Amino acid sequence: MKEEPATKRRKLNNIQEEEEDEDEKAARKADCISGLPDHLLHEILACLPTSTAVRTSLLSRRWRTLWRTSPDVSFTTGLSPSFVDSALRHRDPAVPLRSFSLVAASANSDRAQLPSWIRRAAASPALERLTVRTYAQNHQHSGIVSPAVIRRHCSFIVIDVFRLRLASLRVLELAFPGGGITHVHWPAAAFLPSLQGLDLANLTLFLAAGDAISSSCPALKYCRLSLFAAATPELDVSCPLLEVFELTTRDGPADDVISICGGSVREVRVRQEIAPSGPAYLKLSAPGLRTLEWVGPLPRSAAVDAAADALVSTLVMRTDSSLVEHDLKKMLLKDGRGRKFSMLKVNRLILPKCCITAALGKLVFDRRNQVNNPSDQEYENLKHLELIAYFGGSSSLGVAFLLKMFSKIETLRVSLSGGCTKDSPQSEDFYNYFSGFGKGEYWDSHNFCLEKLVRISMHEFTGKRYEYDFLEFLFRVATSLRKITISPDSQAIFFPKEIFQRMEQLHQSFPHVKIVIS
Amino acid sequence: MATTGASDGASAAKKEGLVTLMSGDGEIFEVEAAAVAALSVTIRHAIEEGFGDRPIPLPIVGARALALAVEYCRKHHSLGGGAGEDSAAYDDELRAFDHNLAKVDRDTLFDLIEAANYLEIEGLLNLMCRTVAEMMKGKSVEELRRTFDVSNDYTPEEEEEVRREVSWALD
Repeated sequence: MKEEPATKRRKLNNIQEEEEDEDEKAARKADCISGLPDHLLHEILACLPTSTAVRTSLLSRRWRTLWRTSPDVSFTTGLSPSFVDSALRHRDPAVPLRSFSLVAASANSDRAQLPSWIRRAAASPALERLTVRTYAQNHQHSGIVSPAVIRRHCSFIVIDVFRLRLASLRVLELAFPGGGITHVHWPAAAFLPSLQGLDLANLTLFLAAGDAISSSCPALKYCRLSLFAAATPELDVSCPLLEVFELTTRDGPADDVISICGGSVREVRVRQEIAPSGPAYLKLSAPGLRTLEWVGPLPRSAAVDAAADALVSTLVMRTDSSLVEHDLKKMLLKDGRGRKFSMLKVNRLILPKCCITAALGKLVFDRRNQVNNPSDQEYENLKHLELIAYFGGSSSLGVAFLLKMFSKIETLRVSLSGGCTKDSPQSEDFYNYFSGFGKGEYWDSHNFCLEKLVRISMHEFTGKRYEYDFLEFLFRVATSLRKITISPDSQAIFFPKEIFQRMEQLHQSFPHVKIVIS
Repeated sequence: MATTGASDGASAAKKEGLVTLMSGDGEIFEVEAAAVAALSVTIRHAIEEGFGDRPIPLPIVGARALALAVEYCRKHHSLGGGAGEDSAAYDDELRAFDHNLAKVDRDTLFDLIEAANYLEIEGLLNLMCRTVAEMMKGKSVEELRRTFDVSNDYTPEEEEEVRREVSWALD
């Protein structure tokens, strides 16, 4: 360690050093980059796309064969199959690959090559990192491909990386375009003793058994699966070192079971993109869990073993217009029997699109004659509510419903929106009657009480009357309010002076509340 | 009396957490042992080997590079190691720090690469290698030679030969 070969390095670089005159010496000294030892130059080359790395061999004698002995190769832009092949063929076979990374757009024709490149990279006994992330050239990688189209245009690509011996692999990242036409088989005999990070995206995963991942990867720390389909009804991950688990599924079977166990698990995120119902059963045994994020329908039943006081559990409503009503009915309007927030210890709710509050308003309006008293106890856990609203249509009815239901919230984040297609013009007058938050208007007399609400932030504030009305309404009903942050409409160049004046007036009426304009 | 005692105690306690580093050009740095040991494998090993009360010699690390490397360790130790704070804000502050550090002049950049390598500070080494790679991206061979003062020692024949060797990678 103490004998850093500084002198040796210089000799490597230039044998006739003594013979140089002063000018040449000065020039040589200035060329600090060529003076770096090979392994450091390899570190630099590893950050470059292979095409650039290869081109460095033209710089000088020092650089001629450097790229060939670099243990890391990465391909980024302009992927051409022959280029990847040539690069792999031309590099020094005596230096086993340490990392192979291919992140590029790929045409259909190239995809057939992927399995062979992956096999080639995986043949290196020293491989620590394997990244293959391809996306369709037209960027429609997230589109859903119908099975008929797949049959017509593409053949399935089978990646059998898990059949190989990958003793030193630490990180494996695979992502493919084309909605699941790539099949990855995970045999029971797979063994990746060093694997810490696993990231599989946009593929169909065939697990030999529900617990194949944990039995193959004893050292796993990060597991991110984004699957077009998991050909296994059960997913059982219990790794002693697992810290982060993320699962995204498109349309998992309705009767699947997810089980995640581990003393080191800190974060769990589950997202179901188009599934109409959640998993049949969720088992989460993670005493150290800090973050749980759930997007989409709740599981039918669940056992969550985590310390509730340290857990931030967020439920995020889906935004796809075809799912919004369905989800609202099941999750907020109690059409889905037995699916309860408390199962997941939910304490934060996010409605990330204006059309969700608008759809909720419509549904509430349609049911105005039904007796629908949300049971308060279930929602007492909810501490944070985050939504996007448009005051002036059915959206405000949805907001009122939420504030009535989640009356124990402590923080509220509202983004204001300019409008929403869910508000059809003929009904607007009708809704408007129910949308007023102003003094003496409809909601003013509805006994709202948000006694625990201490912090509010309002975003995209434009200064419309409805917005002021809502703001003043909150000041009246949130009796413990301490701080409110107003952020202007991001389109606006400057904040209208009038807003400052109105805030000043509000501050005089409610001096205990700190108003911040940012 | 009491005052002296207290101040002695305090200075002893202060000494306790410090470690002395000596750069290749003989400059002495007194730094928080915890911060540098957490980030630098070399210094961690040196402390474990009992260098605690003697200056740790770092023969090939210049004073300027050492000062920057120590600053890097401090920043990443204090921002990355704390708990209970908003981690997104942490990341932003660290990113800004790294971004600024990467703006050093070219010679310092290569000194820092060698320093990070010698001190085994993985994050700093990666940051600096990425920075150099960014400087190389999109440049022609001639531009690369100019940027890094690489003198072309190929004979014209040799250069032609290399060009043929890598023709598959050239446009």
